Amino acid sequence: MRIINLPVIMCVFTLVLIDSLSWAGNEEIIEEQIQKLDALNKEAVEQVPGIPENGKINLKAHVIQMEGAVDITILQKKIEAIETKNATISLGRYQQKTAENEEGNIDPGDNLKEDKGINEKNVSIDNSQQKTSPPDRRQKAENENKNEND
Amino acid sequence: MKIRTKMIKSLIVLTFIISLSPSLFAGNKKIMTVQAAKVIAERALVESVYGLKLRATESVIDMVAASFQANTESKTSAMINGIKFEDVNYDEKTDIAQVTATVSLESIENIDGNVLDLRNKVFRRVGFATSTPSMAGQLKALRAAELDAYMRLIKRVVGFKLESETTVNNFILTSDVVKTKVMATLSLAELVKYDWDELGDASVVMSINVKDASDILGVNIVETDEFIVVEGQGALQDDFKLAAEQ
Repeated sequence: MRIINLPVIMCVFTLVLIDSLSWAGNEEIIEEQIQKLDALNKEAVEQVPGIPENGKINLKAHVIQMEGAVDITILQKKIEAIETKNATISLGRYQQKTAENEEGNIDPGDNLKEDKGINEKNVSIDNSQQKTSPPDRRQKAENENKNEND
Repeated sequence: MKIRTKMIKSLIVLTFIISLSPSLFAGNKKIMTVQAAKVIAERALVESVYGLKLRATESVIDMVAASFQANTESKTSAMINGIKFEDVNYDEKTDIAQVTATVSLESIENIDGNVLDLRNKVFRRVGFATSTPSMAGQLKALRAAELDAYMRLIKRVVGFKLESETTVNNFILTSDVVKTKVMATLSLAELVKYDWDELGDASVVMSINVKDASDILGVNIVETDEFIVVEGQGALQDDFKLAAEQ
């Protein structure tokens, strides 16, 4: 009985030893260090005056770590703010900016019937495209009418 | 039959004689290992007294552990006279030698070219070495812990450079890139304690006497405590890299 137990005990001991060795290493140290770097960076960024609501901050700082405190001196900073403008967006109709309506606002009096063919997908086209955008059929019909009149 | 008995007897006698004179098998392994430990102890002493130049960088992108990179380099070179070796121990079983080196100097021109009045203060450092590569893991971890401790001391005494790119979204900060750079010289660091845990990871406690360092270096070190004490860590295995590869 003892002879059988000894190899089993040895095997279990070896497995535990091998398994425990796999816990040794630098993974925990590195993860801890990453958390420290993140906290330090956030502390440094928070010392930068005028942090935008949205944007990017690039900074260079000199840091002296002390017992329970950090002395941060900002050497260089670059702030790129992403601004969002307040605007009233009316859904449904769209009119391209024209010479008559430079603001691009939609007046109730504007005749939008002609632009029926231009739907909201045409938002990105420029003026020159818009001039050529009406269907060729209409142009053809006009030309034909002119010819007949002549 | 008689010949066989005689042969067996003579073999037993020969084995007995050989076992009584182990010096017959003595080689240079022990001498070389002890010598290596002495060199390591000398280097540590030079780093403490004369000083060392240390360059270290750390960087992480998007706080993802897999992107973390750290590198530490040290350099020192000096001629010091009067180094004595106090304890010389050699473990035959593990082929590890441990040597403690001491030195007492009136003054020294340190790594920065400043003449330091050391007032015959006794500096003491320990060195470990082995000639067996399979036994070197824990000793490497100890060296890594020493370098980490030096870096932490420099971060306290001299400071370091932080470079970062951060995104702000609705006033919530997200670290995109964080880099730290340490490049400085350090002298008068003392080893307080070293240890290995049961898994073979090493830890080292180093200190620098703020008043002594301020007086000797002629620099005002901003610290409220008498000693700056830091703990450095060194790992036996690079399981982080293994995890990143998986």
